[in-house]
Amino acid sequence: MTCNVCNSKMSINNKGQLSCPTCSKLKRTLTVTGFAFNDLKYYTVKTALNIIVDKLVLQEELDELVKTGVEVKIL
Amino acid sequence: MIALFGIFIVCMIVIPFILNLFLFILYIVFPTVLIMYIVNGTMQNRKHIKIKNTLDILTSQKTLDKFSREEKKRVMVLVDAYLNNYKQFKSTIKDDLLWAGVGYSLNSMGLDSAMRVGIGYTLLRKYVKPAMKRSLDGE
Repeated sequence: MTCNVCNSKMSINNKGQLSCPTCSKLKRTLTVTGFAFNDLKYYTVKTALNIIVDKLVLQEELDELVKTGVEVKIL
Repeated sequence: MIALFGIFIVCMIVIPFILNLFLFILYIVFPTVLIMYIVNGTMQNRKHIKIKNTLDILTSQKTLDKFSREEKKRVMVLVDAYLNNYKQFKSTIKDDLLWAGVGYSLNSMGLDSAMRVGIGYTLLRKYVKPAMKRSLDGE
């Protein structure tokens, strides 16, 4: 299986998950702008470095990304 | 004699015609256009208020708690289109309505199948449902 970002071969890490050896070492950054409508909060992705995400991201998805070590910049 | 006839024509035909035209515009055309403008504006306004209220309900915390991640994403796309691209919002709404009614989107079904399903549904409602009702009633 190959990585979606860099097309290198994926390997299994010590947690038993599939991970890319090249991308896991790279710094993953996300630049977003926030929107709010009533109680719904979401972000539109402006730039994504070494990571694949949708154009629109929910608040909870962004929280999960931050937990996995992605650097998020909110404009 | 010709000048007298000209004055007669102007007094009896041209001036009343212009006056009547003016009165017609004043009392018939102008109020009709005004009423149509107001009614149209009110209808548009009501439509927008309805859309806003529906989106408000969809994005309230009470409703969001019940939604799954995928459903939340669907609402998010709808809200983003409503805020930034109204044309896309209208097409999304149409697609969503079709999806809610039939279970498939127009893009996934194709226009032909969508039309066939739509016509089939209408025919079912018109002919089969009353027949089923009659048979259930035991007539």
